[in-house]
Amino acid sequence: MSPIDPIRPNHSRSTSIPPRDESHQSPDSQLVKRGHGLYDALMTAHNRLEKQGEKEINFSQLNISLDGKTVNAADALKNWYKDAMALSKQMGSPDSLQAHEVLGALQGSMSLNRFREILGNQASNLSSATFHNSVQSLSVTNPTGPSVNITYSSDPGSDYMNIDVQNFSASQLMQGLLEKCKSSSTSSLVTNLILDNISILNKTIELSAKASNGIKNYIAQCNTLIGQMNSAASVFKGNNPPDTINGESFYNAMVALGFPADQISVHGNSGHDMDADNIQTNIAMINSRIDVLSQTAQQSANVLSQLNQTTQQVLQFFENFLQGVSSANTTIASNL
Amino acid sequence: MMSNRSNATLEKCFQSIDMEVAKGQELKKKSDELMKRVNIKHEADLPELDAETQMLADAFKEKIQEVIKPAQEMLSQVELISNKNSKSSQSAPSQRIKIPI
Repeated sequence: MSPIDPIRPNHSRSTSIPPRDESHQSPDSQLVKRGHGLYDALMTAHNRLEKQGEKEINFSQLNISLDGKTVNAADALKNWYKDAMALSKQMGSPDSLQAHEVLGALQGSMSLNRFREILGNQASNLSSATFHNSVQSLSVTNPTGPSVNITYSSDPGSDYMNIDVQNFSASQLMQGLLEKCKSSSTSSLVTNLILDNISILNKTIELSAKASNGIKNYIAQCNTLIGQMNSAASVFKGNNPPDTINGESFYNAMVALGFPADQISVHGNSGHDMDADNIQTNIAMINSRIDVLSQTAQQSANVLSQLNQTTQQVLQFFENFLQGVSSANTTIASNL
Repeated sequence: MMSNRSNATLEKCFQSIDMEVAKGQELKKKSDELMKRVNIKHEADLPELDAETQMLADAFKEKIQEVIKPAQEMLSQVELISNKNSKSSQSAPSQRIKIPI
């Protein structure tokens, strides 16, 4: 994904209209989609009027192309604002739409400069897909990737937080934190937070590594035991095969490997003696456990790989973080 | 008689484990070095995070949890026990598999 310029709602003084962010998925996606179409059509009209040297825009006399059809700009705006305001009233105040100003101008004209400003603000609203007064949005710009959009409601009764981070990696969130901390006194707390999470990752890696090695060694021991049992069982294929062999060592080895003693197959009531069928049953039991553990071993390899990747990202960004904050806040990294 | 389960897939899996364990050890060294470079302040002495930074911090923690969760699930399937304990263990069958280490 390409870098996205920061969107600064209600502060646009630029003569260029800010680009809209199409990466954001909105719960009000239909309305937002329509808004994007309208935005594009109006922007095209605006640019045309500007090139023609017009200073004002007259909506009722302006035709725009929307979804392949030519429609009146005033009608299109009225319809869109009507739906947007209905949604806003449901959620909170419609003030952020600046609808009253645009709707008021629909029958007359509006300065092209003011229209451009409002259009820019609407681009921000459409990007964050947020029309409610009780909801605030935050965009953090990541110079090396996409921005992180966070929308949250101040009303604890509502869905309190909607963080659109599913497409963002931990490292991108880290970068967002870095951006915030460059100019704030909170970098020490954030440092502690990062260190806490690195510790958690390290501990998890350590435990997972132990488990992975444990599984590996356990399967190896199981296979060694199966080999020994197969060798011992070969006597049953020879001339004058015995009815049973002394299986005490196999029995003990299986118990040591955690197999329940009462489930180990032995011959009748003869202690630990085993016949050919007993040995085959016991080997099948061990193999069955190896099958289960093979899947766990594969899972643990994947888990370790994922943990390592994330840890690597976090460490890399922690290094960047330390370098970034050291110039603004030397108290947290005086050794640098 | 049945053969054991030493097959190529398992060997490949073991190689992956060895490689990832080694990588994890390297990362641990690197994180230890980084931690030495930082003077950690006691959190009680620090100001509270502003709301926006707190949101990012929480989102970051959630991301880390997403990575740790599969590890915890994997670990919950495997109970690590010492060899000494396993030799004396004759407990009832369990959903979890005890792995001697």
